[in-house]
Amino acid sequence: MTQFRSARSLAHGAGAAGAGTGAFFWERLTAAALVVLGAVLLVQLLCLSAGGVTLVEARAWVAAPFSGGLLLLFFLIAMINAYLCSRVLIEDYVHVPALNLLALIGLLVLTVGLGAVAVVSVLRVMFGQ
Amino acid sequence: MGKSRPLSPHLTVYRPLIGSYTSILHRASSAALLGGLVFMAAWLLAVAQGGALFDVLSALWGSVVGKVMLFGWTFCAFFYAAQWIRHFAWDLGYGFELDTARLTGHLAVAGSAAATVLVWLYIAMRAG
Repeated sequence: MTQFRSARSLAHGAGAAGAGTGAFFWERLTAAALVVLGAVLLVQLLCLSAGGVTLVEARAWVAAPFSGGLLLLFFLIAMINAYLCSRVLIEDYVHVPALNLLALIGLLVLTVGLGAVAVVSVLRVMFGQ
Repeated sequence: MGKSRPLSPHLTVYRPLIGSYTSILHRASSAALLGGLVFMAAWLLAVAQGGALFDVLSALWGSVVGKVMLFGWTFCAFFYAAQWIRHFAWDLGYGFELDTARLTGHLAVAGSAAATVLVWLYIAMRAG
């Protein structure tokens, strides 16, 4: 039957045809955002305290609109970037097809799960103590 | 596919070059930073919950092991940012000349190391 399929349709079935530039674009956009947000976050953390924080100080910092909003943005974008970039490592180095698929699903579960825990925690500190 | 075909990572078959080392370090640092994000999510959860988890994590960051982890993540974050800046330039078609690529590779490693040391000197000064 394959001889009835066009070269384009065969290429579409063979891999990432049509979707590759999307991953490329989002890797770069999230990385650019993380460079900027990460720099602001680092300055915030250095101003917060160098010798550890108490729970009260930590909660005040997470609940404040600027630092809390920064944390939410940073974590969500970091999770998208972590998924897209760690995906490449798994695709390159996990050679057994079944393990490769399991690892990719595991990575998706890990990044979505971490994102959910972090976002709910920040919102809880902001709104619902 | 034959069973004897070489599979990546090809860490041992090439002569060491700054280009391959920065690529390997970029990949390794991205994996390390994912580990860092696990701890960051745990810390945010601890801040929301309070109690034992917050005490355990605070004790960890106060210890030598925790400080080494934080120091490592600081370097990885700076290096990851430096590598992405190199990649942005490459995406636009700049910096591919061998001399330039080698120079930016050395700059990425040395600059991230210097920035990491500066950050931790500042932390040591504030804490001490």
